[in-house]
Amino acid sequence: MSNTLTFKRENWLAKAFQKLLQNKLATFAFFFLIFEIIIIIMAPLLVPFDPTKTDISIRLAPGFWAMNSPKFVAGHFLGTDHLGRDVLSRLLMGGQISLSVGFVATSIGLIFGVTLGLLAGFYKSLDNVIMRFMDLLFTFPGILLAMLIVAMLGVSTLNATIAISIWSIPGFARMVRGKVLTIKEEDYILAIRSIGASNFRILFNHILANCMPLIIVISTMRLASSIMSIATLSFLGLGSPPPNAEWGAMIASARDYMWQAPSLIIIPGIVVMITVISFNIVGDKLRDILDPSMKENN
Amino acid sequence: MKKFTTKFLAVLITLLVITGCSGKTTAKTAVDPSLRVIINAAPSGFSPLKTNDVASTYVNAQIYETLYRRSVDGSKYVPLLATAEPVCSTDGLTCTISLQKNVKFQDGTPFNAAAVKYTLDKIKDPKYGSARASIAASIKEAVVVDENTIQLNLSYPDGVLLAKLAHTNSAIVSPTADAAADLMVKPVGTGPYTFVSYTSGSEVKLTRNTTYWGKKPNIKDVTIAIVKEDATAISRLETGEADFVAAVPVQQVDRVKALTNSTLYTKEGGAITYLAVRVNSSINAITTNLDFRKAISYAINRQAWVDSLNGYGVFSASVLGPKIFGYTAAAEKFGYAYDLAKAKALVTAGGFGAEELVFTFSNTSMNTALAELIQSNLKEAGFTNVKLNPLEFATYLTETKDDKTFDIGLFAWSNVTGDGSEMLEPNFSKTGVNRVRYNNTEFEALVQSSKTTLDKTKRTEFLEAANKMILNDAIVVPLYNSFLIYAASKKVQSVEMDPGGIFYISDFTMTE
Repeated sequence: MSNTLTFKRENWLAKAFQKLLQNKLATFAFFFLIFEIIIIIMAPLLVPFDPTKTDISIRLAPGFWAMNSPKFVAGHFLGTDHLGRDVLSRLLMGGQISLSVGFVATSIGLIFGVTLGLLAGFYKSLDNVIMRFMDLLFTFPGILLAMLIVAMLGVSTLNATIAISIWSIPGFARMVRGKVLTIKEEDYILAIRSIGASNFRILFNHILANCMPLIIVISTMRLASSIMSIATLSFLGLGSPPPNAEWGAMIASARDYMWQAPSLIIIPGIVVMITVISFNIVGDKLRDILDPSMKENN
Repeated sequence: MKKFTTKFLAVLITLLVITGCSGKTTAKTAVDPSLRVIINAAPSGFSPLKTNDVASTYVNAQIYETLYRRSVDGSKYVPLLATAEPVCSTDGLTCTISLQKNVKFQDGTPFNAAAVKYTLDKIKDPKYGSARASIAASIKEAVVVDENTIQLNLSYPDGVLLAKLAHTNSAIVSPTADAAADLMVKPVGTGPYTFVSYTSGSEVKLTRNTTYWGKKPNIKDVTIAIVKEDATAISRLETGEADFVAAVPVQQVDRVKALTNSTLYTKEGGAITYLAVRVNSSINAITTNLDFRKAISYAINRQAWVDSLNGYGVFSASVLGPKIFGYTAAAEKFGYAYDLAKAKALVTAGGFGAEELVFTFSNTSMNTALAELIQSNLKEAGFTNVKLNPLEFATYLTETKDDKTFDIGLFAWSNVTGDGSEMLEPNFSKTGVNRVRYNNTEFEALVQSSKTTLDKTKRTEFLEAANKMILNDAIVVPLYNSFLIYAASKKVQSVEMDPGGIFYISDFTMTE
């Protein structure tokens, strides 16, 4: 019995992946993300300069697009910022913060959100308590809630991560609860129950397994918005504190030099944009593939 | 595409018509000009006696008046609510000041010797909570001679009495208004503008004082908006949503110069930005070690920062800048000039590298850049654990006063009076706020002497010695002396600012 189940599950994931690769845009986005993640993980080995090392004598040097300019400084491929720090190094090291906050915040949101959603959907007695609390969190606009949390805890990367994860919880909980409500009425759950499976086993081995496609889709989408969120918080001075080279913080500090060196805003801006769009494209495509209603057609 | 173009044109034409119309109507209805000012921090309150931050001073200088005022070129003090310079006895211990007649506070209370006495008594009263009690330190007693004459009995001959009476923190307040309500929210002075309203953190509204005793100001309504975003402030000037920006950061200078509707003004001012090491009651007790502090002084490449200011800043190694009384050329040799090798040697010898240091500053973009630069300088010297602690301006002001809140910090001091004692006493002496908690009896004695001596040569000597002491103790690392940079719309004329950075809107005139 369990063999068949395992087989089916592998089949489902592999099939989804195959389908994803049939779409050119999604394939491109997917491999771009893999490439980006590898580069950023290896960033400490790759960066040409210490990202916080200043050299004010070469401040606001242009990058490769103005190689012939007398202000261009060899080695600084993407130019330097207002304190003469290397933009490429900052971009790569900043990516470590942006991506890790994105992943960690999404994971925390996922763990708590999914657990709460499962419990709320499965146990009628808990439903009201949990979901009303989630509604309470939903009433705050996300960024406001995060700002409130950071204001209470103080400005640090960890606190920003906590803020973003708390804000991710209700989204996960609500979606999973809805899914659980439909799954728990299915015949196969009744069958498992009638052969004597415990609630725990039903909930985590069967219901959770059937929620997986949904969870994967929301997580991917959520990753994109978490990366956006940390960039936003840093932009507002509430995320990663200086001198950390977080992407949003880079944009924020470059605002004052917008007229002299627009590349300082454009470069991190483009990187945030491409990353977020890629996660969204992959998430979108996965939803198309994993949506049960579409699955029946195949 | 064609459809889109037509729609776009339609919208454009509508907009043009609307803006065209509104432009005409305002031109017709405007009788009295109104001024929109932008400042970059929220005032902490509207009592001149209880606030000493630049944002509050910007507002309070319009509402209240002092006995004397520093001229815009900074060269002398001119009588304002007084009619002439104080007449002092030969021993310098009694000074008599005659006051303007027929002056009324905005609440109708007459301005007289009793009001001056009331104000000076409040400044002295420790329970009142004056921001600058040291202003009245030399005054033993203020005696009302008659309605328009006040006599000050001093405990020692005071060399900076005039400068102190010209300080915005000694502005005369209405005794009835102060007794009736909190001046911090309901200001009442004798100035050319009366307070209308304050929307917390957003804007202050003032209007012309119709019963003003002096020359009627040209501008009627004033809105002082708080815009913390430098780029936004300049954008407002560009679009005509603001007429005067009180402080333009260096990064925005080129942009303002390019604006066709505005003028950029610069003036060498007396404001110094410095890095201070808190000697006592810091978070990390290592700051009491002189070698440690010396290493910090040696590590900071100040010239490089000044060079990046494109000429809008002057480097001076002296705590008392070149424009301040008490400055001597010899002071440039005091302290510890940038020397990375020496810094590294001290760090290695003392094993300071891993010491955690909390570095507090107020979070303007300029300060943040400077703090990041200093952190990077310190890192090069071997200090690997410097934690930046950017704080919002009001929080920064209160937190840096408390015990054990920081190790090193960025501070600025725009010297309103232009006198050296007025820098050293409030910042580093026990009788002042002394954020760095400097505790040195010899230094105290020098500062006291600089205040109690009338002879200018002697005073310079005392100030020089005090300056040297504080620099050699490596308490202060002077970073740069800033320029006053401000901008105004071309509609505004006679825009003036004194070297302390204070402007009086009653000086300004406007044309539509």
